[in-house]
Amino acid sequence: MSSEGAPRPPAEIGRGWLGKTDLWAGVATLVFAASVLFISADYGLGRGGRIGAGYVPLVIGVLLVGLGLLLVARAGRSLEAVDTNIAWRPLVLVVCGIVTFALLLERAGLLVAIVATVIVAGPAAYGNTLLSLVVSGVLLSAFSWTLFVHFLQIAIPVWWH
Amino acid sequence: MELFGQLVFGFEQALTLQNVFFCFIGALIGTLVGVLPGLGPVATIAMLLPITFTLPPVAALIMLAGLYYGAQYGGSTTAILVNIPGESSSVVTCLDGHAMARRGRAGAALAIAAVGSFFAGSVATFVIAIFSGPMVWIASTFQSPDYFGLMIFGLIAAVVLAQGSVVRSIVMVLVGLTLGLAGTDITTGQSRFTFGIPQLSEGISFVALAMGLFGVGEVISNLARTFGKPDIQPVTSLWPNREEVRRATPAALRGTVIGSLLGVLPGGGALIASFGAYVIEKKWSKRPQEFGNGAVEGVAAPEAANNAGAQTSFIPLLTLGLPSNAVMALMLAAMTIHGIVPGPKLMTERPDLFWAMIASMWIGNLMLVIINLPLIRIWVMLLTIPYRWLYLAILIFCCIGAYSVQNSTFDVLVMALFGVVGYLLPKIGCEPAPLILGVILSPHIEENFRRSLVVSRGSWWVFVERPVCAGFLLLSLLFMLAVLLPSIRKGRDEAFREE
Repeated sequence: MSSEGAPRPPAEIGRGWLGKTDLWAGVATLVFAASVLFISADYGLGRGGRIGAGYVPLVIGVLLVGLGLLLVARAGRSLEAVDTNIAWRPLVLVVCGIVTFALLLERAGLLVAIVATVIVAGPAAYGNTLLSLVVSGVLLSAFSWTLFVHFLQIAIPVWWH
Repeated sequence: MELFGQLVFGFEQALTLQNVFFCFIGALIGTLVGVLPGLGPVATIAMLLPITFTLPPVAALIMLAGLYYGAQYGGSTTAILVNIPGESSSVVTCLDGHAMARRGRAGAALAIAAVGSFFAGSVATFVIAIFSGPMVWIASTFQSPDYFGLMIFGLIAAVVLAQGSVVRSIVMVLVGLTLGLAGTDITTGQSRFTFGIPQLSEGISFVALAMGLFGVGEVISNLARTFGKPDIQPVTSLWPNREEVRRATPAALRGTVIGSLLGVLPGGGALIASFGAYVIEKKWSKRPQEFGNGAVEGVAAPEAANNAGAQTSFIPLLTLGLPSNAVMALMLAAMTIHGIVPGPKLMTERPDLFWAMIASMWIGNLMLVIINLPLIRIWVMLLTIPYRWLYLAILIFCCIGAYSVQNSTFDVLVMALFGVVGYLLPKIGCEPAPLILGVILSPHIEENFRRSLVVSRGSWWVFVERPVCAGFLLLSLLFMLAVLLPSIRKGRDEAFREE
């Protein structure tokens, strides 16, 4: 499967138990499993053949606890190390850009939302200047309006109201 | 010749001026976006989904098919000319395709890839037409426990056949299953995992989730990499010489067979097909030392195989309603948006749609050859657009796409959240693709599980008593055990490391 995403680089060796993917994947799994079990605790398991809304979450939660423990247990022998390089600048700016779009779209309309998003998310890449971002924002607004509103007639707020 | 009649019927449905036009536009835009580096088919289709919203179902499906093949094929152009795989199924094409380009045979490599893909696509279209009937017939005997077993088998096989850690991938499937449960439970009316947010009462928007995991996540990780000036090889004459044709033809034939077979498997599809075909070509070749240095077979076979596989992976989706990979999961979501439910009933209840879709696959493939070869110089120009502008356009289209599925800004926020998840998951060694399969199959699995238990009054023995279901579950177990055997595990890892 996974027709997405390039294959990962070869596993690094060393860096101790704390740097293993299996450890952190296992811990994340256990946290997720605990939340599933906690949230679904009062969904009801049903009676007899009629299973309740909490039955499948319970099964999944229990399986996840098992797999999470397995991952933590085998982390000591694993060779794969966690990739700790997190690109904070793109991560934060891209997310802020999308949030800007979500907040502005229904208030200020598509055109303003696009320009604002481009200006917020633009500094994520080096080499973008404010002027170039304003220009690309305006061009993208014009293009999106032509394609989505004019030709495809998608229902989307265009302008301030 | 009932089959022949049905295909003709399909072509009658598909070959209206309007449909051919949409197929052309779909293939054109799909290629355009597919050529751009760093955007795979899942993100491409999710992003372009809104442009099909206002179309009637048949036209929309045809356009989607065009988009899919365009996105799939566009990746090869980038792989050959710039040595950047547009999507992971083009990774192996980079090896020999780019080596050919460096020797001044870029045009020949592109032509061989295009014609090989077209040939493979045409054969795969017939494979789908031939095998769909029997598959639907088998599926019509299935009851709830059998469907449950089939889906579990599909998920396990998808995990085992894909790359990456099996245990972590199963965790991803289970996380996906949980996310898929969010919303109001239809049977009991209970709200699950909605945290009191009204927009979640109908569940998490699948398109927003897919776009976040694959589109936004990918954008962030691409921005983290520094792109040097791309090393674009000039396109030379598109005509391969006689020697190249002589060597490419049998390789494309072998690739077609391998791709068609691997595509049907759960977890199969374009990626495993292209890797498999490349490995086999190299093993059987009399000149293995040429592989990696521009062997024609190393372009023809994987390109034919990935197109054949991309297409035959529609068989489980159209006949069983079972998506075998992340792209098919998205196609399933796209069809659902248009009110089409793939599965055994589709062929009998909407034969017009079913056969039109199959006919459109062939038309889509033909469009690709027409679009790709003459317009190749335009695609090359696209490659020179700097990523610092490109990603802004991608982000904006993703935002508009996420919003327009159900006119909800909440979905745009959901996309942002899953963008973060999609960026961080690979850091701890987890692939987002199994998660997507879990999300889309979750409601179906629970539904069939629930119905089975109603019949058996709550006893899990029902899954062992029905031979079909027991068979699927046993197969799943064998798959899991097989992967734990060191020798098989080693072979599996090697198959994905042939780079």
